[in-house]
Parts: sequence; structure tokens; C-alpha cells
Amino acid sequence: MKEKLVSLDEAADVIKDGDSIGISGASLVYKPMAVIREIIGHRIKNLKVYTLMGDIDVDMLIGAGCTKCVYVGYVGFPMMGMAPNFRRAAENGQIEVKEYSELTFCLGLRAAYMGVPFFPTHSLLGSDLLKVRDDFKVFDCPVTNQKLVAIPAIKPDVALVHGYQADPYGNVQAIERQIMIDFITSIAKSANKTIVSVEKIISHEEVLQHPEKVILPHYEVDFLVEVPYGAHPSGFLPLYPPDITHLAEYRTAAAVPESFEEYLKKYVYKVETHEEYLKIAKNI
Amino acid sequence: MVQYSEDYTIVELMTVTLARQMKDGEIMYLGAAIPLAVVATQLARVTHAPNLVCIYGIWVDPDPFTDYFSVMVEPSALKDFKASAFINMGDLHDLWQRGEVDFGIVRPAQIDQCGNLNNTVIGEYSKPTSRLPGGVAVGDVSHLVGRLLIYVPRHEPRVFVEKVDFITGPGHPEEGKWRSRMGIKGKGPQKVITDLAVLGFDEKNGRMRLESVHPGVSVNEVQENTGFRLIIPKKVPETEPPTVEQIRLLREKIDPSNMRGLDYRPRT
Repeated sequence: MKEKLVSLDEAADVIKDGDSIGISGASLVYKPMAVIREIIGHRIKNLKVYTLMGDIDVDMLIGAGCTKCVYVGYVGFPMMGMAPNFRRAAENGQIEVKEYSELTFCLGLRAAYMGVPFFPTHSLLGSDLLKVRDDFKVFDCPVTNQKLVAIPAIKPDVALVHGYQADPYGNVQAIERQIMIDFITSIAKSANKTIVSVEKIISHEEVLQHPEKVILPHYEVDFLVEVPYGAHPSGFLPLYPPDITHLAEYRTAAAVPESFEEYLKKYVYKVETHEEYLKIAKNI
Repeated sequence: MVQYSEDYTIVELMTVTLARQMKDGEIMYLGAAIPLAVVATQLARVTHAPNLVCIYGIWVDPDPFTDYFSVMVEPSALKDFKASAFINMGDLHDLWQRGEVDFGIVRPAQIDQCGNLNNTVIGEYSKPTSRLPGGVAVGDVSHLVGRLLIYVPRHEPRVFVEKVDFITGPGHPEEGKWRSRMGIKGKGPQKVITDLAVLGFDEKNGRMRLESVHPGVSVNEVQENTGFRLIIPKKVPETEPPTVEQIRLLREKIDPSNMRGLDYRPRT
């Protein structure tokens, strides 16, 4: 086993202009936000971003000019409202939106982590998504002769996921009552490389005592970063909730590009360390 | 003898009407961000449908007396929050694909006379006048769940359009013949519940039909707020009002913080 620990800066260095990235989490929880802020700080361009339910992760990567195309089922702030940068950039043609349905996004990942080129489904026949996604192919099922849709495998260059705790080798454990664990594991197993940020690093001894808690074994992990509150301002249930106060401040700032630039300066560009960020940004 | 309430809001009428579409013993699915539908499901479970299997996101049978606001923002509430199971997204999708979910509930940005649903864009897909958040499960549950219940908090012509700008999930195209021709398992949209009326779909041609108007609402008012010609039967009944007990449960037990009213904007 190899140790995987790197700094936030070294983790962001893994991502190159034009890469495709897959992001864990959904609905304002389990988003690897510390790593995303670091990527924005590195001024990476032309990213292709995959996530089923995007919120501040996707919106911030778009508003900071890092993103060329998003592959998503939804981008918004559940119970709060629209995602301002996403909406603006999609409406003025700055980004391309490749919309998936929930199932087809997950089947694309399933195909990738099973190592098959596509996954078949009955879903989306009759939907206009088939007209705008020429990579989704309708075919006759060789077994039943029914029409089916082939959803190609989703294989991002790099997966960004945020987990609870891991040993230095990257054996990642869940916290009790953690939800949507397959939103972490499926994207990690589908990507070529996986960067995992965790709330804390534990000893290998602790993992040996509780191997049943491991959701991602070390061979699935390439880089590991320790960042407490690394999902902030999204939540890490049940450890901490989404920071609704900060998210509201974000949405207000993102309403127009000028104030969003100020937000980025304050919380990303001028911030030296993650600890410094937490001091000024965290309300929970 | 059922005792009907005379003191209820339009939001409570919509909640109760939606709850009445749910049958005991069914398996239902509900995505995020439809607070009224969460409350309606919980009401059904504590009244006429105690064996309704409720899958709310990935929570199975979430406690009906939990305040969901606090679950989202209070770590302590999260740690104590009761449910039969937390499943993975993949488990939910397997259940959809096997055709074992009886119904789902969605809220469209646009719906047309054939029940086609749009949550993707207003205008052209590649350069929309309004980019909506996206369909998430709408495209899937239109096919894969037994029936779809539609909830529209405000009945108005920009929602009820002759033809949706983008079909995120299909309704009843080809005069209602498309589903059987394609061998689609799900029956698609069955009921549309709004702040004015309850609507359904004609079995003969798949077109939207008025089924009942809410107390105090005229048939004309419903038609005027609909962007296409509805099928209107000769006699349109009034929507059944909530009972005194349903209103008490909503206000005191299930939803004291009025989550059900979150996405409702009163008419001026």
C-alpha cells in the first residue's frame, strides 16, 4: 500500500485545462468544495463537469470561468432557488449543457464502473433529450426486440469526492447515518483518477479494526487530502448541515457578475489557507 | 359521518386532494423540492394509507411527525431522524426499472394538453430564453413508475401551454396510443392538481380533461387560466373539501411549520 496524502494545492495540480471532472454529492450535501475552490484558485479553464445534481459546486466553477460544458440532471439550490451563474451562462451560450435524466446519468456511471461501453434502458423514449443528445443511441433489444436506449459509459479524467475519514493509504470510511454513499463510490470507481478529501485522517490501525466501515478501499483512491469542513458551504450529513446563511450570501452575490467577482476575491482568490477560509465563511 | 372542514386554505385543499390519490399498500417515490407533496404523503400515511411505502429521495418511510426543515438544518435532528432505511440511489433506480413503483409526483414548469412535461428550458434548447434547473427524474418516472401525479401550485397559461417548448418527459402523444404502441410500462400522467382544479386525461385521445373545480372556482376561470382548450364534461363536480381531522393533523402534527405552503404564491 502506498501513502496518498497530498496538500490541497497538489491535489488541484492534478487537474489540467480541458479535463473532465466528476463531482460527488447532491442537493447541497457531500460536495468537495475545498478542492473546487482550490481548482478555481488555480484558474483552470475549459473543464467538462459531470455531476447528477449540481448546486454551488457547478455554479461556482461556471461563474469563475473554469467550465466549458456541464453534464447534469439538475443544477439549482433545492428549496432556495435557481443557480444564478449556471442560468446566466446557459442562457447567453457561454457554456454547453448536456442534460441527463437522473437514471441515465447513474447508468452512465454504472456502465463505466462495470467496464462495459454502455448501459441499456427503457427510459427517455419519447423525450426530447434523445433529440439533443446524439450520444444516446436507440437500438432494438437483441433479446426482446423492444426499443431501448444505450447510455454511454461516463469516464471522467478525475473524480473529486469528499468522504468522512481515511487512513493515509486512502481506505475511506463512512460516518454513521451517512446517506447517498453510492454518489461517492460510483463516481470514484468510474474516473481514471480519484482525489478524495476527508474530514479527518485516522490511523491504519483504526481501519484494520473496522474494515466494514470502508466504502472506498485504498486501490480506488489516487490522492488524499485532509480538510475538516471540506464540504462547506454544502453539508456533510449528519456531521454538519449545509450553511444556509453562507449559501444565501452566495446566491445574492452571484446574481450579477460584478458582485460574484467580489465573492470570489473574498472567499477564494485572496484566501491563503482553508483554515483562513473557514474563519471568514463558516456560520455553522 | 365525515365532518368536512369549513376553515381551510387553498394549499391545504391541494395537499389533501393529492393525499387522496394515494392508495394503501402502494409504493411511491418522491424527489427533492416538492414540499407540499412530502406533506401530502405523510398525511396519507397517517390517515387512509398506513401501509403506503414512501420513498422520499433515498429515505424509506421517513417519520411522518418529523419537521423536515429541522432535518435539513439541525445536525442533532439529523442524528435522531427516524426512517425504515436509507437506501442508495442505485437501489431506487433498480426499483423503478423493475416497474415496482406504483406512482411518483412531479411539478413541471410547463405541461401541455397531452400531458407532456417540461423542466428543461423555455425557448430553444441550445440558446434558451430561460434555462430551468433540469428534469432530474421527470424523464425517467414518465416511463418507469405506474402513474404520475402532477402538482402545479399556480394554474396559469404560461404553465398550461398548447405545446411544451421541450419534452423532458412524455405524456400521452399520438392521441394517447403511443404508450401501448411502444410497450411502455408506466401509464404516465394521470392527475394534475392545481390551485384551481383537478384535471385528468381522456382515455380516448389522451387530452387533458377537467375533473373537478375547487369550491368557489368557476369552470370559466379554469379555462381562462389554461393555454389550450380543455375537455370539459357537461357536469363538473366540486373538489371534495378536506375533513376537520385532516386539517387538524396537518396543522398540529405533520406540518406545524407550514412547509406545504413554501412554493405557493397567492393570487392577487
